[in-house]
Amino acid sequence: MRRSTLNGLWINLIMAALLLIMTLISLTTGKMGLSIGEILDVFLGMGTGRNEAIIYHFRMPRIVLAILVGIGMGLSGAVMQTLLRNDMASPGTLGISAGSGLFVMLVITGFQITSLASHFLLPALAFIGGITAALIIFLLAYRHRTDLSPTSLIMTGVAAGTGYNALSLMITLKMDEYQMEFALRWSEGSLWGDKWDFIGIMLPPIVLISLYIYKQYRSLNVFALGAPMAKSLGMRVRFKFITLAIAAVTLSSVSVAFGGSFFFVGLIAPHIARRICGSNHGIFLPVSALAGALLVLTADTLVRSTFPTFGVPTGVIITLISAPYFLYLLTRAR
Amino acid sequence: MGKGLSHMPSTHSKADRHRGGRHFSLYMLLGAGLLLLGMAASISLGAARINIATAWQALFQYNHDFSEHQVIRFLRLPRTIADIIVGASLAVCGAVMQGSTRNPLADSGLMGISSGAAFGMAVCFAIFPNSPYMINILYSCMGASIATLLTYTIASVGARGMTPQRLVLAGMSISMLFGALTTVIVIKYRIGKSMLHWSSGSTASAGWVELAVVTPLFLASIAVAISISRSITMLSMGEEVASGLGLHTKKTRLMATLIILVLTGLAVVIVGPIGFVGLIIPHAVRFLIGVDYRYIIPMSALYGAAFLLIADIFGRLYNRPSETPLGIIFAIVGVPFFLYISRKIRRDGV
Repeated sequence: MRRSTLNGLWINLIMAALLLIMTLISLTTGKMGLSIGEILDVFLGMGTGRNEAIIYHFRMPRIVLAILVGIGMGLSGAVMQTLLRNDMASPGTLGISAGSGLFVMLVITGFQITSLASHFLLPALAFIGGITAALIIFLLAYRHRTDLSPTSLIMTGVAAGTGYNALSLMITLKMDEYQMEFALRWSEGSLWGDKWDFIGIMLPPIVLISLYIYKQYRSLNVFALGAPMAKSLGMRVRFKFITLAIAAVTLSSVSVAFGGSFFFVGLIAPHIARRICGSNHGIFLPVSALAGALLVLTADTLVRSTFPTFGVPTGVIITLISAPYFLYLLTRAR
Repeated sequence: MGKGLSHMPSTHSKADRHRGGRHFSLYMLLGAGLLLLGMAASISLGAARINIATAWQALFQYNHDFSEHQVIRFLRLPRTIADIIVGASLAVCGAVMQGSTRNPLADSGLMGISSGAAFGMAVCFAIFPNSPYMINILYSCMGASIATLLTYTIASVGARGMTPQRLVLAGMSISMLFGALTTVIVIKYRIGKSMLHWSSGSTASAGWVELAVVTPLFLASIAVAISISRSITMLSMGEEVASGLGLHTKKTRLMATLIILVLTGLAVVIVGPIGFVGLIIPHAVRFLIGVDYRYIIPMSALYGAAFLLIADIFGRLYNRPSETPLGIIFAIVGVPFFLYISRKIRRDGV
């Protein structure tokens, strides 16, 4: 046991180091190339005004946003997969992202997105949308006295997600040009909220909920054994299930609100993590979060360095990487 | 047709056979009435209201000087015909798919075929801008075939074979994959305008030239579908029963797949990727008339056409003068229906 925790620490340190390296690479790429030396100068307060502006106003917020979105989606997917004991669960496949998206569209049509009030309204309503979606999906898939079958839950999620998306599209059609462009950018997953004030709103909930979830890692370990086992081990299963599910939905809603719909990160990050470190949640949870962050940041850096003029949304790249993986999972699913 | 109805597959109960045969012509008549009503409404309703008498004149005493006559001839009428063709195509496609795969959730939209066809269109727009219509159809059929092949293969790999759920999940991810690929192509080649114009799910842009290309293909496929409908009924009873009854299952499957690809390809070219029509109509028809595909296929064609026509009229009138794309209307109608069917599958333990 002791040895595995030690390993876990090392794995997390290595992941964190990778994330740091990726951050540096991401800082150097963009329309204007900066060398590592120039970046260090800026951090030490000796950079030119132009470089300072590039880093502090444009690149840093975007990188921080990518990392936060990745952490939020990765952790949320990890929790959902454990709670439902299902490999294919994620905010995207369960239709929760789509539910949040519907409410985000409502905010866009109803309010000026640039005003301060909407900054707070956006994640709040995204959360309401996500929770509503989760409830509806659960009620639709629920059958009395039977276990929820994983595939049927996801089928329900996919169907409900399609419905939400159609409603969102219907709202989109009523938008003016400016709102429409914003909605398109949002729905393709393109990290739109890359300003410090957005990050200021996003940071506290993500950090707090992540800490809460991490504190619950023992409960999650028990959940992984199945609800009957958890009950017989004396856990308040229903209470824990509900609070953890709410935490996961909040996490995904907040990241989706400012990052755009990153459908697959919540699915794939926990899988990468499980491959690396197994399923002891004390290690698995942080590795999932870091894997999610790495994924989004890498995809975003890729987009910025290879398609700077085309503007391919980051979410598209992630879908291209992840959809084949989901199919692979599907072929192996029982 | 009367002759064809007399010998039915022997596995049906007598009562069932009787009921299906007797009600079939009644339902067909009802459907035809609905379709005619829909056509009349579709021609006279729209951004500008034109009464039916004027519409009649536009058809038979066409006068070039009346702008109303021009609207009818070059906008409303082709659009109405396109609605009919697309609706019938998608519904027949769904019926053939559901029958030949014995999968109640088979639908061209859900299974990724539509998004494959859309991808083919994007490739075509990117490589050959302003290409003739036939080439567009060819590419969209190719895209559809690739997506179908992938979905089928992935859904059937594995220990338990192709369950409805796996088919839907595989179809969903193939859709997402092709959707993402399409986005990349659209952005890279800057064909956003022509794609958006096309993919919003509308028959508004259909003109006589397009219809002239599509109609023969459509009629041929529907004819083939009806001609193999007996074999599809046998297939729908299961592989063993079908070959026991002396059916060439491979050949029938091949024909069915061809019909599906051609019909989806042409529907997608006209209207863009829309789903759920092919899911809803055959189920509704089966509920009315039973399980014999010799009735289901023609009835699906009729009711699919009427359904799409009515949905299109609704899309035109709701929120006038801007239009609501068909895809949205169908998704909103289709999702509860989908949930109902998938619940039923679970209850019946398929």
